[in-house]
Amino acid sequence: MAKISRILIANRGEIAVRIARTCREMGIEVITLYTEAELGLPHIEIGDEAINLGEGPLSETYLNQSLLLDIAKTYKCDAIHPGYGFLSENAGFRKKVQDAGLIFIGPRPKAMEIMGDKVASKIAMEKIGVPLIPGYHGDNQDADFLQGEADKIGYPVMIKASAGGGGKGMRIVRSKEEFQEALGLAKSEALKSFSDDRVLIEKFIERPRHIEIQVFGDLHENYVYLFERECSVQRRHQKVVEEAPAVCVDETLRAKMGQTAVDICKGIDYVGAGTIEYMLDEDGSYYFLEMNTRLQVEHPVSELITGQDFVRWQILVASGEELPKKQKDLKIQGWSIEVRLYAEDPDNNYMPTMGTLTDFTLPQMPGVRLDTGFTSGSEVSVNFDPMLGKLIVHAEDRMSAIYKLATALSELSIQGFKTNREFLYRILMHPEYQKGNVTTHFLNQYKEDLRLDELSDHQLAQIIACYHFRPRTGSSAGEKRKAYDPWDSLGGFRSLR
Amino acid sequence: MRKIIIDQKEVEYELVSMDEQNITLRVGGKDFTFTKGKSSRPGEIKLVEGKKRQRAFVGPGPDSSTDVFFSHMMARVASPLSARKASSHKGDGGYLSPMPGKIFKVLVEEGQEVKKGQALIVLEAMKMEHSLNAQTDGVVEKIHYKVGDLVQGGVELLAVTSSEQE
Repeated sequence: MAKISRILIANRGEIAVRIARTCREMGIEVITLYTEAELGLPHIEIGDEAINLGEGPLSETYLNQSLLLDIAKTYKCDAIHPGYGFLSENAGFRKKVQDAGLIFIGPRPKAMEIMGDKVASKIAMEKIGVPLIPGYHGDNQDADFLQGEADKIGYPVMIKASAGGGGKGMRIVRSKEEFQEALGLAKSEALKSFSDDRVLIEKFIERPRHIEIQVFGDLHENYVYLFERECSVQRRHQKVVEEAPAVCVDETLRAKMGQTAVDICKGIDYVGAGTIEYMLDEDGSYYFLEMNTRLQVEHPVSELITGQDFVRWQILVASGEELPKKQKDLKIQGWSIEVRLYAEDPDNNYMPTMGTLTDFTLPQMPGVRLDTGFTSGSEVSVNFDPMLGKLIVHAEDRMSAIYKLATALSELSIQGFKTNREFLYRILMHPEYQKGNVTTHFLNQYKEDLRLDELSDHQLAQIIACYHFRPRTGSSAGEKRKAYDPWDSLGGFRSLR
Repeated sequence: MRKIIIDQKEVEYELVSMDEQNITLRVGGKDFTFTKGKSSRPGEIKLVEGKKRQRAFVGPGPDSSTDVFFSHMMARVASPLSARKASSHKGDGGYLSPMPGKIFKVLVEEGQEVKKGQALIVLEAMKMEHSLNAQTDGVVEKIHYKVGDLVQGGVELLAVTSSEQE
């Protein structure tokens, strides 16, 4: 068994902070990285040592593979934790780490390669017998043949331009009779837009939900699933609200989706933490979308309902130990919801915002967790991901979790520039979200409800009242919020011996 | 009648009465009365209206403005005076930052003569570079920012006095 006593975290921000916390609990030393542009951010302070990567584009800093390997060797690290994003799903880097005699905390390269390729992964999944969205992606473009394929798939179907994107050449067909006309239109649109009239046909899912299963595998061919997460509230594939478990998944479906996920892991010899993403139809059919071969941004909701620390699991697995729990020992406790705080203005077309976080504080509340890589006074620039942090709650049931999270959001002071905090609050308060009537179209479907309309006279009065009640002492937030310093009150005592 | 700028829009209201704890405002012909409740954190205001209590955070925004954060809405408030001062910084020269970003390069100096179309300043935003070019021949009068500065969208980055005939 390989003993891991020092880890290089090849990442930044909230995930670096989160990984470092678990390392410390396990008595493992931590090396963190930072760039010139990040001076003062918490992930620099959290490790035993922080290495300056200098400045420049990502390719010269966080994505500079040889530099990271040099640092790992120089500082005598046993393992590299890649976090998410950056090099976490880079099979080439994974191999280089292994060749350098270090442990990469993640799956074997083969599994990363398969899942990193959209086509290869679908072929591999078909072999394992994993359900894929029924469709025809072949070269035969004969109208009658395509009609036959569409009939086989069952309506509604979607005709898409093979070369397409952005909705051009896309047609939804709801019955057999409409097919030929729609095919003609789709083909001429495709020809006009892409000079290529080839199309593909897929089953159209009217009310899709995004459900994903957390999985873990070890080096001894043990596999478990740690239940599902629902991430249907998303915007252009950017997840905004995530929860576990999912309202629409019952015991039977959970076991079925979980078993499929375990079968996938077995089929590709999966090691470590992973996530299988499915699209779930109203009738309970589910289809494989992709697998993320790393720790997911939204992993905390699954940690909270299972009472497990996934970073700890990752490190144990990487050092050769068996999974800490067997499937039968894993139970769902309560409900957990996470919202992602972004530096953006949802009321203004999600334009990015930035500046100094003059205040970023949240009082201690039971069952509330804030994972962030920023603190009061941090500069938020456009250099990195616009995610300011993740606010996560754990409660008895879904409704309690919703209200706990809404309360936490209203207690969260995040000042200096506009964020999506108030928008997140409006989502949680939306009746359809509260009922659990959520599909991946949610944010689009209820755009009007979620938008802050022109302020009413009442709202204007509330704002003006606050303006008049504002504290007048101290011109800046920093001054105003200067913490009580016990040393100040010592006075003359210090001179006494 | 008083005037105030809320999210760049002018709002008229009357301050009917105000003391340390209570305020009555007339907005759009209606009166609204609020009481300031006990707050436990700096910058926090508990606004009491009849039986309803609402939490808000109030803090300084850019250009002497004040940001007010409720749970479900956020507004930037400025007095007409400070708004006027801020907008003089915005100017109408047309050299405004297209979106929030970081000053990546400053290619000219104050006092320098420039030709129409010449690149003056480069902004880095959303992982792309946006170059601001001279709209006319002229002289760089003032550069408001230096390399590395973070700027909001819509602020004037520099001023150029045109030397072209009107």
